Amino acid sequence: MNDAHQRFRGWLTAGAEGDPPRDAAVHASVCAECGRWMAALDLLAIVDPGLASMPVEPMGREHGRMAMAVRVVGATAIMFSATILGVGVSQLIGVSNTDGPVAQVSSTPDQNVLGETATPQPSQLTTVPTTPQETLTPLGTPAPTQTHPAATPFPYWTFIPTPRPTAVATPYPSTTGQPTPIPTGSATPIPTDSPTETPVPTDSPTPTPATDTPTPAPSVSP
Amino acid sequence: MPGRSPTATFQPAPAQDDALLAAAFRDLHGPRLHGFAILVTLGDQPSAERAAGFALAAGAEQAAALRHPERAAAWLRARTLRALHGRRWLRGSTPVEAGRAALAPLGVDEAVYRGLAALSVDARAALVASAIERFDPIDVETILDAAPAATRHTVAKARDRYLRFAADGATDDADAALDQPPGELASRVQGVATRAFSMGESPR
Repeated sequence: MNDAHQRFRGWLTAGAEGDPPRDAAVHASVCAECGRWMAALDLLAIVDPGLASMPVEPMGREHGRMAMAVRVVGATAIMFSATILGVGVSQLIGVSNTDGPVAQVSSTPDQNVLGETATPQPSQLTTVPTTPQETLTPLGTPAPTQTHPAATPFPYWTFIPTPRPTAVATPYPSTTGQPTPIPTGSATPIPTDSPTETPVPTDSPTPTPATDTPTPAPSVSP
Repeated sequence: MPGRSPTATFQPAPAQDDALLAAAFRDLHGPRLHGFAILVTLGDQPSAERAAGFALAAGAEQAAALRHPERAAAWLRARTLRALHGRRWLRGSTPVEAGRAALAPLGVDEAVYRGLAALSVDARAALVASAIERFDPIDVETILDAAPAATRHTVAKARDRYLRFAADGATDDADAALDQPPGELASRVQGVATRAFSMGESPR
């Protein structure tokens, strides 16, 4: 009985296709609960969705709103692109049409670059040695650095390359017969045999004035 | 005009063809699709109309390019269901009475409403598509966008839950419809039982 009941329920939930098992059908024909199940499914079968009305076409608010949003976004993107393109082209045209003194040879080209706001200082630029940098210098002497003049009054940190010891070819002690200069010892102090007497600190400290006797305070006389 | 067939002037242009086809598509699918949406939303009229309307408009636009018109109904329901999923956060809670009022013209009574209300949207769509609209299993798979095994599982669970809430939870006085004359399913079962009791047949 219970088994037929469950099998009939299983047949119903599986889709109720075809005929049910006969023992289950026999059970269901006399079981009130199975009868209610069948009635519930039969009630479901008589529901007719075709009785609904025609849905309203979404041509109005939302469809139009979405299309309008797409149009606005597209127009904005086009305008933005055109603006960027126009700015870029105008910049290119402006650079190519520059006919000012930029192209002139100037000893202080920074003025033109900075819109003539810079004041050239009594520059080290003019004191830059004209000797070529490739001259061999003795080892240890840094190459003369070329510092940029302070072209702007603004406190810009200009990058000044740190002086590197230039790769200097050390003159080899030549064997060509030219006497190499012998360093004289006059520059460096040579320790002598007789050391000079260094002043020895005296053992007697200077006596400090004893202040055991307090000085009388000036009395105020009436 | 010489050399031109007189019937050519009566042939509709391709654009007119498409418009006629779209109109026929709407007339054919519109009401039932709307009913499906009302059932799935449990009577939420605004959401149902919006989802069905969007799906119908999309289907009508592509009606001329349909390669499998027999699957168009399932495609429309799948699209409607997707729209309902996507707009679930927009839907307010429909009052029960308003939902019942929207479902009543479709033939939904108290027991059916109780059973449908116990289901999720997907389960409701599976039950409506399989038990009410009698779609083929492949169409139910399309509607649910699920594999065959998953679709079978969803449909079986939906039927089981529906039975539990529609029939098992019924009270005697409130569900007179369950005691009405047997429907198609009950008649079929009764026929099998009658044949089993008849002489000359042994039960399987």
